[in-house]
Amino acid sequence: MRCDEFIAKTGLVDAECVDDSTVLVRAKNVLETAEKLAEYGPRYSTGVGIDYRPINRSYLMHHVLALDKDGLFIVLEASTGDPEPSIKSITPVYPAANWHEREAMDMLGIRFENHPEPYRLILPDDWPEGVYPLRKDYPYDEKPYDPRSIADRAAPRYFSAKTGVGEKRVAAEIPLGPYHPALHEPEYYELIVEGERIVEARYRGFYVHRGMEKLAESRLTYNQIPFLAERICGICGYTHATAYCQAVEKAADIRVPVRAEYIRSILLEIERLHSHLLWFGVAFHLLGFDTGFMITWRLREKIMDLAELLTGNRKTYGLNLVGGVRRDIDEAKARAVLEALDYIEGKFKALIKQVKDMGEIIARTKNIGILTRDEARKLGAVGPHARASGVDIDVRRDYPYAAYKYVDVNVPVMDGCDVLSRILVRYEETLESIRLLRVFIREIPAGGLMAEYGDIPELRIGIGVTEAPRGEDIHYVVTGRENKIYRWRPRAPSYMNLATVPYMLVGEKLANAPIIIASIDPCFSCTDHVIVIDVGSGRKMSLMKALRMI
Amino acid sequence: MSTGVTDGVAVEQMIYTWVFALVNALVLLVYAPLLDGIGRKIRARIQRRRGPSILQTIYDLRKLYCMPGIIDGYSGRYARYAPALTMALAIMAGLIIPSFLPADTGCDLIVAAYLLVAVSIALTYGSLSMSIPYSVVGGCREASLMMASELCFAGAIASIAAAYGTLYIAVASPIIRLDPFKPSMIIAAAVLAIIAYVEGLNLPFEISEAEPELAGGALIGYGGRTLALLMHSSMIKETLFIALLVDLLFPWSILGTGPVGLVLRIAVFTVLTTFIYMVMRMLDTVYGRYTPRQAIRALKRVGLASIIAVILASIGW
Repeated sequence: MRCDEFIAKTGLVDAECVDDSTVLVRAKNVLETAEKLAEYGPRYSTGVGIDYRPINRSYLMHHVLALDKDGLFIVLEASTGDPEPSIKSITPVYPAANWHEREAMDMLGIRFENHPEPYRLILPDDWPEGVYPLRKDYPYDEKPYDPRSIADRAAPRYFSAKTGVGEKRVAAEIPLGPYHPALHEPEYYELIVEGERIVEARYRGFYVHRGMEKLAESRLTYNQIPFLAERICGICGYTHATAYCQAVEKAADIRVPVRAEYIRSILLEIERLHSHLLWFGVAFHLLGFDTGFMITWRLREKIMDLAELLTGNRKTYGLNLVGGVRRDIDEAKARAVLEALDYIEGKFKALIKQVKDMGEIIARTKNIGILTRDEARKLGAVGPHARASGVDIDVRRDYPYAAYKYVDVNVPVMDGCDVLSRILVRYEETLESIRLLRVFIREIPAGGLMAEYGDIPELRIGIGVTEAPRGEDIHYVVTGRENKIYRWRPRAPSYMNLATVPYMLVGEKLANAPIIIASIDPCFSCTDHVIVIDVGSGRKMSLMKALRMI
Repeated sequence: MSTGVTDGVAVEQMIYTWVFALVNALVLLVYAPLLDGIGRKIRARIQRRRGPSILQTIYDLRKLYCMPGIIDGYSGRYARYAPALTMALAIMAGLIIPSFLPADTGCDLIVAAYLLVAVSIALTYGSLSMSIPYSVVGGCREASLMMASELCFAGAIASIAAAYGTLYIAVASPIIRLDPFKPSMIIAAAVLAIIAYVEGLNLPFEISEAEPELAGGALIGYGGRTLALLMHSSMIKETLFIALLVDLLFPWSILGTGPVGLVLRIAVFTVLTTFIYMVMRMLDTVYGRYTPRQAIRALKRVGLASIIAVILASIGW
């Protein structure tokens, strides 16, 4: 469905087309409009708080809803003014909006009326009250120091899920993280267990927020940001750089040369392959099958070699600019990719065949970590995680971009809703990635690598979206003056998927916790954007010390 | 049939016996970590890695022994004594279970089983005395595994007792050997082999330390010398389970007596234990890890097999 068709169908009066696939709805009553839009079954994709005071003395909250079947994004805009910005929460209608609204509360000071969990999400507990780092009048290099206004440290920040167990119970608290062999980045899960059964799970994250949005909006130009975006993640950085570039290209209506689109797609699939193989290795290690871990990581090395061959780097390819790519792929490199794919495909299929015959692996993953289709939809799960719960979404097919516009993408969907389904979905996806790579390499057309474009107009909205290895990666931009972005909000897939983990843990055995957490392929650095600072002493402190203060 | 002091053997023979036993225990202190090193090398080669030197475990233990013992400060008193007690029990088991030299201490199979179980109990009690949740969970898992496997162990011993019509089963007796032509003894030997595999914490039964799940589990609260004692005693215990299996399976009397017999015994024992250990390590690399429930369920089946062995032995099969 096109944008204008959607407006005609819904009869929304305050709606306008941003482009063919994006509708902007300026809602007077955001909750009412959100409820009305819910009738069309959208998926909550991302929420962006914007300090719009320099433009019209207001704060904006843009809720982005996705109609996957129609390939349409609906931007639901709510505005509020100074000095106490307040907007009605839509979390009661879209539970997946929970974290996005809390993030806007933390970073911009927008209060959300009737929010079910109005607690801090991202900023550390000892961050001073009334200091909002993403406001335009807050300098990017400012270090807050005001021990008199320390936030309430007892305020709960956990995202939890419980069973209906009674009060009288003998339970123990098992901390999982922030440092744990099963978590390769610092995150904290608090598991309340009875024996080995988990009766309550609490999640706390955002230990490694790096303030990238502030840095980009304050210091960097349009074509510097792709290099920063690529550093959001150490595994799937290229997908972030691509999503960002696509967002700006859409806002400025820049047409990328087809050859550049193919090159981007080739690297995106290379990245998916190495990410999935990495995940398989980690999953096998957590299941105690270290031989499988060694084999998959050895195969992954071949992929890393290909990335180096094509871009000069094993990671952080540095390939994208707004409007195209910086490097071409010649015949010899293309041939090397095809040869390597044959080898990897054979070995990988043999390994998974062996794993499918391993009773203990199947028993440890089947009917474990259940996330039903309804829960997945409600909480906004994306990527292989959602597809393993029967949610048929894939950005490459639903919102075609780059060279995916020119090929058919097979999307494996399973309805097991368990860890085994997540393994099998990723297995099918790995094979599909290999197929797509072969198609892209063989069909890449001749042509230029960069589009020509002039000044980028200001205050345009652009949504760039890619199917990252972990799911939908969405970058939202509002263009600015002087070759700078006004607002940039990257939302990684793990941001959505992490909220589902406590639901999957409750009722499970402690032994299954690591593989359940790992089954969503969590990428914490993608999700987190703030270091812990002891405002009492003004020094940075260890995470453990920070935790003890909670 | 029994041997040793109870039958009034000569003092000279008794001295020999205890010298042999002492030598066995001392050699085990080195041999057990050496086997572990071989296991690490095998695992690495199967995974197409170069792997560490086979002496690496000895180097690791030496380094840990040189460090001060570290124990979680909030732990119970017993947690402090557990490492030394575990090692003492392992050495005691090493003294009475014949290994390289035929130290016929008159060790009863039931006593040997008790001592080997006591090593696990000491380790479990130590980990349960810790204030660290992971240690407690690891201890609980170790206890569950131990109880499940010891029931199977008891079944195997009972079948041997039923086959030979006595509760006094001297491990070093030349008479008590698992007859390869009796179904009950074949099952008993298989059960003992499985128990040795399980007690060695090989996958899929490696659940009490389960590093990716419990960050080390039962051993997480220990560091330095205390950790070395626990690791070392666990290795000795695993080696002794294999030694017990070899003692009961191999017809040692065919090697003869005298110096030649001794040399042959050392060679045969070393080859057999190393071979069994290597097979176990190879199996270890092709499995994933069970959950505790799965491990107990698997051991229930082994327990059932041991009961069948008892029934068969009691009817003369």
